[in-house]
Amino acid sequence: MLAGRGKSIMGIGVFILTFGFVMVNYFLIATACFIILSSLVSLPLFDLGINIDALKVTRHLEKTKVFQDDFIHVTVEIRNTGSKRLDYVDIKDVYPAEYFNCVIGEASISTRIEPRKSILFSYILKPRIRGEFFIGPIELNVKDRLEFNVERREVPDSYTSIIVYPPYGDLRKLDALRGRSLGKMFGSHRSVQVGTGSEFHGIREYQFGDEFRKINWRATARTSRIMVREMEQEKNINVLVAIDASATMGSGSYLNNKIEFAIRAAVVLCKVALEHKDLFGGAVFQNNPLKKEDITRGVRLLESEAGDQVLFRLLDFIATTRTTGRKTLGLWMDQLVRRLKKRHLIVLISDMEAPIEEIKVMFTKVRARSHELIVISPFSPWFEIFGRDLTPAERAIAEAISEEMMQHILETKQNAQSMGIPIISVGPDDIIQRTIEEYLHAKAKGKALL
Amino acid sequence: MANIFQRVMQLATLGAFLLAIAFVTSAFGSSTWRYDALGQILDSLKDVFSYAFYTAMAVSGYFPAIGIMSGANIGANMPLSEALLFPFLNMTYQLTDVSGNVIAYSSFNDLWDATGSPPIFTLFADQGLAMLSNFYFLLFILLFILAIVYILLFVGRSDIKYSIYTVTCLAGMLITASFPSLIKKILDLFGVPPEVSIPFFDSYFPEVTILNPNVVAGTATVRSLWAAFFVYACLELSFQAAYVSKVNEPSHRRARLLEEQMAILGERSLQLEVEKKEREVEQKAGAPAGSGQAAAEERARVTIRSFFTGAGLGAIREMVERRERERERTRLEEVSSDTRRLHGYITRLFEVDKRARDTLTAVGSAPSQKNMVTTMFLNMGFRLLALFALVFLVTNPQLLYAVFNVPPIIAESYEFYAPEAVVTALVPIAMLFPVISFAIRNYKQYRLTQFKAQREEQSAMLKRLSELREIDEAETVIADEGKKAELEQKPAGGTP
Repeated sequence: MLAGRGKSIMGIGVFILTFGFVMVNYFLIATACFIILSSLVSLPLFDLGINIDALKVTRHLEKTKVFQDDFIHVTVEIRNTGSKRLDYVDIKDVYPAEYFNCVIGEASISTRIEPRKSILFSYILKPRIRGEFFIGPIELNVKDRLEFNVERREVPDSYTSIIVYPPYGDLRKLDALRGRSLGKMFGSHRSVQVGTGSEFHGIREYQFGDEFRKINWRATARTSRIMVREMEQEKNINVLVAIDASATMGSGSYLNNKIEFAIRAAVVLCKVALEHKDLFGGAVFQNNPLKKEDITRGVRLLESEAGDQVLFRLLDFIATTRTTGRKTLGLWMDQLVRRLKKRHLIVLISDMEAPIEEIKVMFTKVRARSHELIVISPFSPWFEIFGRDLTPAERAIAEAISEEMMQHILETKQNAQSMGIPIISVGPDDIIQRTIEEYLHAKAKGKALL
Repeated sequence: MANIFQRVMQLATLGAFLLAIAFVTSAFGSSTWRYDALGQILDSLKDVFSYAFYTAMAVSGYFPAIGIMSGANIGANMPLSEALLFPFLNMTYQLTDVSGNVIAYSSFNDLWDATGSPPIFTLFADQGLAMLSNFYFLLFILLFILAIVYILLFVGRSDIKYSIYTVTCLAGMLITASFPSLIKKILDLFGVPPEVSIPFFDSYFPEVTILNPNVVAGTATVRSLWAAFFVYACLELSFQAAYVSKVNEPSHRRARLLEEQMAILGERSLQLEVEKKEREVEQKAGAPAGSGQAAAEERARVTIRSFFTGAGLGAIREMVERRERERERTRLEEVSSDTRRLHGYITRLFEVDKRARDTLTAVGSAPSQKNMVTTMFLNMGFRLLALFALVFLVTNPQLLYAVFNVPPIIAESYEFYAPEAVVTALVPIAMLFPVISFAIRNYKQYRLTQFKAQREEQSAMLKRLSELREIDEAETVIADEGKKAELEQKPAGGTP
């Protein structure tokens, strides 16, 4: 097939030929003939010699699951399994440039491959956002030396799926947060329950019915009164982070929208909860807009579990979440609590952009099953304007929205207060910190104990 | 080695094209091939630049305010400028074509002495008009400069579009030269009276006589064919040079880039590490024990009453600014952290994967130079030979007519000696290649389809065979179990 360059050459040839005829100039005519024929003469040989199917191209990814702030080394191997040399091969590994940055190397190469030889090239990508993406396809352009003729092919099945988790940097920052922002709130806060644990809680005076083995003789001798030891009751709680993944959570830039921050907060919360030996689970609320009749299946649930693997399960569970569909908070919560077998501390991250009545239904459903609920509410305009220089008009719009949302949230908070449910409005700067604080606060108060 | 070969190819292309440019410019001489044509053109070019330079100097001298020194008699007449510049420029300004015909003006001293009569600007205007009156020559100079610039760009960037532009400029020189006669013919066709058109052309677009038979010929001659072949060979050489560069370049470029990136990353991450430590030290030294408390107190001071006073607003503004600074600092920290991590990642990658450096630079993609040279010259030789033969056939269609026994009444007709007769051979020959290519492509497709069908048939057969084998095995198992059951039943039934 004649390539773009071949066509251009032919065009120039025809142009010169025309002038040659007009000016009766055989030099121009002969030059034009050379140029025209040069683009065509090697066409049969090119078609005869080329066998693009003999090129086997494979891609190898160092890992298929990475954190957003991690790097991926992608290696591409091209093997010429045929018996003929390919003079000029352009190989391009296509990756979604809006989601990945190529930080080192290049994802394409122009080369010449001898028969039964292979060539390797690689590049390093850095994901820009969380989600599931596909690297590929691999495009092959086999050309003749002068690039007059070309054969294009897309390597079949040359897509590789890659899952990008939220940034690991938040977990790294946890240590810093322990020392600074979270201050005294952070740490191993146990419940106030006193029972039969192994951790010492305090000493009090003997009361009728106390077991004799709990008497602390040394304190008794010191105070001349019978004193008993009290031990802390070590109880784990079930924590479940529920993420609202309806369309409103995705508004704003794709790097700084509410869902991204919600997921980051959920991951950090998981890490902290696991450090506190709690059982941790997750839920994603989302209606599929393509299946309008199927809103009864809007909840994806990851059962609460303990152990080191939970964090990775949660990452897998939420990494591919995208925002879509309308919000049905009441229905979602009803479905969720029906599926929960034990009492849970539910941390819901939702912008609460739903009618008050529906939110009330949600609170009722939670309370009816004796679950504890904390609502972390990303305050809308703060996320949409995060990291942007606003024009005066945009600022005015943001303020108007902010006022309207404030009224809505205040009304919601009034309803929530009567049921003992805290609603915390957060911005991009403090969403992670406040989520952890609220969890620790709830735990310190002994909420959701079994 | 690869780089040397690449450079040699580029220099060879440059040399060949310069020769081609000289060859085409010699088309405007009155004799045969002129080896000094290029020199003549360069001389003329120097004159053009001299003219521009002296004009600028004269203007600066005429207006003392913008001159180098005050006074009317300065500029190029200054002894210093004369001493510095005159060796490189022409004292006598003569714009000539390659035949030595003077196109414009005379001596610069006339310009400088002309402070009174005639006025200096009249002289400049005359000068400019003299150049413009030979519009063709200006275009020729422009095309010549463009051809040189493009070929130099080709050497620098190895992009064949520049060599194509060079050839187009060379063709353009001839086309431009013939333009006045062409326009005259067109005007004649449209019935414009010669008494109107001819004086206009004579004054502004004088006819350019192209006499050199080496380059131009009214009939198809071997000499014009060789000339065209030589120009095309330059183009082909440039294509091959570009190919060598494109195939060799990626591994060199990647290696160079990787080295640069690694050096920058290493340096930057070290610098960032130092900055980070310095910042930490500063923070430790600058932050008193109760700084957090002080900030809290400051916040507490912003009461509702003070909100509307200047102090309250100032404090809020300061808080906002501090928040902004904090964000900016966080962003910078993230960037520096990314840089450090990338450096660490690559260092680890090189330690863990020994092939990583080679694959990132794609060092294996650079082809063997020996093979490259051999195949390049073979390929080029074959193509040039084939093209010369084909173009010879095309430009001399009578040979084809003889082969195909075209009736003499057609073959020997007057029209078939016109240049357009070339088309009768060019079109069929040119079409032959795509047709053959189409046939080959279809045959390959047919073979591929057959091969795929055969493979599918084979796999279906294998599948059927394995199914049959499974059935056989199942039947055997059933038969065995039947026999076993019979054997188990026999003693039970047989025992009294």
